[in-house]
Amino acid sequence: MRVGPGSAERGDLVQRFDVAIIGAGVAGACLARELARYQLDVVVLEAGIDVANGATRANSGIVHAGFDPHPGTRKARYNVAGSALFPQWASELGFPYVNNGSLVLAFSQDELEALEGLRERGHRNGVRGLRLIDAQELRELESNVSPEAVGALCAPTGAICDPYQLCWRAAENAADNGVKFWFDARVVEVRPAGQDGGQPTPELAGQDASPGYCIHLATAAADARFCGGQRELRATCVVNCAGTHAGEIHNMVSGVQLEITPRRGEYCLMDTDVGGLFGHTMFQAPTAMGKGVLITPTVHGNLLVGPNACPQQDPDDTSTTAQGLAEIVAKARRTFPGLSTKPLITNFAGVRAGSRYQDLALEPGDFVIGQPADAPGFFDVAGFESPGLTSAPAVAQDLAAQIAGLLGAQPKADFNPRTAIPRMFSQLAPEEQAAAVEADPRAGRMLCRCNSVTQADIAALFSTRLPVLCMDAIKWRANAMMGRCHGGFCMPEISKTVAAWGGVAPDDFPKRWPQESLLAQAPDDYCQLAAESVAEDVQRRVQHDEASCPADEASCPAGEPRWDYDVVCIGGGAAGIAAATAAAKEGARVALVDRESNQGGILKQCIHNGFGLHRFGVELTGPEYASRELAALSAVASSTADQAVPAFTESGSKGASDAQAHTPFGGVTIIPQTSVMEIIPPDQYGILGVSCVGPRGVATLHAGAVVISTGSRERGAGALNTPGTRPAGVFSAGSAQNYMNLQGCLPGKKVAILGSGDIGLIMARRLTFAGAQVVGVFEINPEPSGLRRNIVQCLEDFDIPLFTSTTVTEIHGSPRLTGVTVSQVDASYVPIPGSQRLVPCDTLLLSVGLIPENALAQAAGIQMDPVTGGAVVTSHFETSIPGVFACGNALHIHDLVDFVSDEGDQAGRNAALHALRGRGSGAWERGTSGREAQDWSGCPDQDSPKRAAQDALIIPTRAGRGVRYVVPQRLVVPEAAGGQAPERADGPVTLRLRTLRAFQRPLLVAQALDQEGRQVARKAKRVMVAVPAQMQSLALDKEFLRAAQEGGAVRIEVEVAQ
Amino acid sequence: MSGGWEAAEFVREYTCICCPLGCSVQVRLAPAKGPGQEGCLEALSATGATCKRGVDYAMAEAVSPVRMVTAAVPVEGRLEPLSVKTSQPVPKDLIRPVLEDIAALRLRPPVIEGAVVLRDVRSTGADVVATKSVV
Repeated sequence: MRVGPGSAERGDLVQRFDVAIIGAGVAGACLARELARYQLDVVVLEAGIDVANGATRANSGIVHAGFDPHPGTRKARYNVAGSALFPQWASELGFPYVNNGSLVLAFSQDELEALEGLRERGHRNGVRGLRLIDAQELRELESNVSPEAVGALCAPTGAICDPYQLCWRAAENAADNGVKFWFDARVVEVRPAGQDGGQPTPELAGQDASPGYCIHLATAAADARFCGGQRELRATCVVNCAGTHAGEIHNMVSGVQLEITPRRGEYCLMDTDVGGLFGHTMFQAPTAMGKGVLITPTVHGNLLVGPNACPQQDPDDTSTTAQGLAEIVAKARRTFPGLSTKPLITNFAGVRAGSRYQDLALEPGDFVIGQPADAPGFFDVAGFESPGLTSAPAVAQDLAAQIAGLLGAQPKADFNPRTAIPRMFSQLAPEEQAAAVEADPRAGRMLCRCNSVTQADIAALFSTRLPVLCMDAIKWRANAMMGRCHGGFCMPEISKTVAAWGGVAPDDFPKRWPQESLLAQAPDDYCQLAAESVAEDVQRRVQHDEASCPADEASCPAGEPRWDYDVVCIGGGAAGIAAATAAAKEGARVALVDRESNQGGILKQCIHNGFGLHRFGVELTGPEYASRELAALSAVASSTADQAVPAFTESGSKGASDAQAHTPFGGVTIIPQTSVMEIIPPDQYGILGVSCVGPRGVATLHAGAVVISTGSRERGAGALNTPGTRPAGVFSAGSAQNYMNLQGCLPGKKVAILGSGDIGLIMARRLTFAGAQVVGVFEINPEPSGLRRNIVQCLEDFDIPLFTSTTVTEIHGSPRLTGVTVSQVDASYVPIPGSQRLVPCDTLLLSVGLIPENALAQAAGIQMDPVTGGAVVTSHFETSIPGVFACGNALHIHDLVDFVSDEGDQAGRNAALHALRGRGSGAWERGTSGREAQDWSGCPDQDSPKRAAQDALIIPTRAGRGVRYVVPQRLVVPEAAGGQAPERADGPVTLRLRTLRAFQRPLLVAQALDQEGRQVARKAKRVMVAVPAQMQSLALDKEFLRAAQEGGAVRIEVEVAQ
Repeated sequence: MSGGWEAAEFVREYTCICCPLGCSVQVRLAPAKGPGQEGCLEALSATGATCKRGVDYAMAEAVSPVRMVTAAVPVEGRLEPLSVKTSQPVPKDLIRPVLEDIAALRLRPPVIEGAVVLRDVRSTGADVVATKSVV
């Protein structure tokens, strides 16, 4: 670990500073930055191991306009002044800030009058641009607002920001300009120097000012890294920015008692999918019932709902409650009746420091700012509740000037107001991104795909001023692990990066607070091995670069079609490997783009056996299955090694393609360590674009067809909306599996598992094998969701109890998980009061379902199936965008990898045929192949067939009685009246489906219906049992398909013998 | 009490794992009579299964349950452990001893997929083999 900037000079027993700031929240960090403008020695003492540990970390992120505080108060003055400073501070420091404007909604005539009062108050406070708008204008501004809203106060200066980023960047800027930061430095005593035998400090006393203060720190684990192990320091001035602990600090030096009254505010954070529902920050008019809750977009594109205000004794408790979360959602529905908790990413709570101060000159509840009468040189920034965030820059300016005046300090000539923090990859323009990768291949390696955070972005955090001392610092500074997957994929990779650049192994690296760590155990030589592994990755990239041809600079003439590959497969797991192999076998030139160094996807970490019985007739482990599939791919690829074209050439000109057109096998190019950022819809020639970022560059691959084989992600912890604390020790089962099987680590020693999906069951056994104790598996459904075999062999063999109709209803412990409350649930999944019990554990694994990974498909505008979470596809696995195919877990979640590969085969073959037909017909050159995107909207409901290309009909499949879903959702059938079937429709079509519930010996029935709904063909299959957890299949032969009529549909249902 | 073998017979219940039906199968068991089989059990019959697979599974599971064992072992100089499996199922009550022996392995690269890293583990007749290559 890099030594912090505040390390002490050795030999100096007690360090002396002009100013000591207690607390590195937004108040302390902004003040540090403003004090850095003067020739002063300043230190910031922070009890935690990151900035922004208290109220700054978790709040609404609103830059208030300033109509709320009472005129004449400090809150009013600093709010308006602070709000005006934000644009400049955002520009200098580079934190996200959006001036989106605020609306305060009225739902009655009384509330409209209250708004008039607010407007008047705002006017007196000096807020510009306030005006009342009527219901019509409100709806024009915000179409999703409740019809009950009758008007609003519009505050155009209202804004949103990222409070952590403001705080961190202000602190970095302060450190750049000489301010020292000591972390893990909890202040336990402040007393005037000279008392109790302390030596006076004449050299600091200056012009008869205060002789200064002695400050004592608690013994801390990390202190040696920052303050040379010192536990005492002196400062002429002390500034109390200790948030909810400010009362304790203040009362150490002043007889004018300050009491902090902590309040907790709870929030729900929604996915970026719904971030666009509102543009403004939507407040509710304050009523006798309270202030209401707000709905606001965030600067990161999410939607934020909250907060409530719960008084509490504990200054640090940020746990959430089921009651509070329900309350804020209910209240927010007043603003937006359609608010659903389905897109929830996480819930959280923050603390606010309300205050009661004995100083009667101050309006009750106003900010406590400045020197108490009996403590010269001691300053408070206390009771800094809302609008504290907005006010912080203005308060900092004011107080810094006062302190500099008191100490007679001169401005620094060389103060630099801008931070040196490099911009994130995702913030760069496309040409800058290309240059960044050119300069450093690590900039092309995406670690966090949800938020496009690269290895270089993470590495850069280790060269900024403030040290990276915990995982959450990476999360908040780089926005990594903050997206939909909750770090499920990237956290293990980021752990390696931390070890490589920070020199700390995950069993020694806290999530958030000192004295805890992410994992229970890591190999002794983890850091060295991780560094070698990362270096080896880089080495591989260099070798790839040397092997590949340089980019062909001869650009394609304007107006000419261009393509680099016939088929580009996105994702190198089971589906993508099979698709690439099948496409190459058809003679297509194929690129397999995969984000990882080694292909195989999730199979690589599934070291248990049970794979391949259907596909290979033997039971294999995950790595063995992947190995067989890769061998098949390699056999196809190597048979054409001579013709294989390099990846990332910008060529792909017509000539090159013509040369390829005659080769029997096109070959496969694997492009590893590369992430696809966008699928670009077909151009006039029907050619698709796939824009990629990898260590070898930023490029758009042009292709005749694209296969989406992006797999799935795990449902995250936050999405469950489980109330409680946010401790270290909560993992998705898959990320725990990655840590164990790919990094040799042990996540925890006493483990509870929520959800009885197969991954959870497999992990129960795996953890037991590794010496951990699994205290139980808890399943909310009345039946376990994993395979029977896994129940027996992973749980019963080891006497691990399984509790069905039971779920986790509260998470306990901070900083490390200490236990979970579990409750039984009734038939509607509602916890049964009185059934709850505490289960002590240090780790909670979540195995609560997989979600198809379809960010690319959705961004491309591909029609999705809300039931499967995947694309709507034809029996050729083609999506609503011609030439784009989908298969595997990205299409719908599978139980068995064998069927994933099977879908990959079909999707890859069809993609190749599509591409080769376009290439062979010359249609691309003539510009006639660009079929319109297929409008299937309404198709499933109205059963209206659409005419597809090549004289085939597209008719819908429908999930009938007892069936949850059917894939494919559309069948390509030969036209009844003499039409030619496209070559792809020759074979039988396999429908895959899941039932709604368990059936004993049911009949799975497919009925072809004509326009009037009459059955014209029927196919039935008897199975022993059908349960939702096991996918069923039903093959439709050619005769059945031919019978399907224009105007009809195919309905699949479950029949049970009476 | 009539004594004799009849008294030693007993019934154990198993849940079949062959399909999601999960039949509850009752297996009638008795001490094995053959020479050298002292202390062993013999499955006499099984009832309750919907199909023959259930009968076969439960009778085998009652008398001599076996399991495949998979694990990960560290490889010198590599962060990524080597995944291994037993070449055939081993007796269920030997899972822990087998795991102990696997955990005691100290491997050096290269190890090629399919390579035997531990022969005839705990005299089960099963080898421990690499399920991937570490080069």
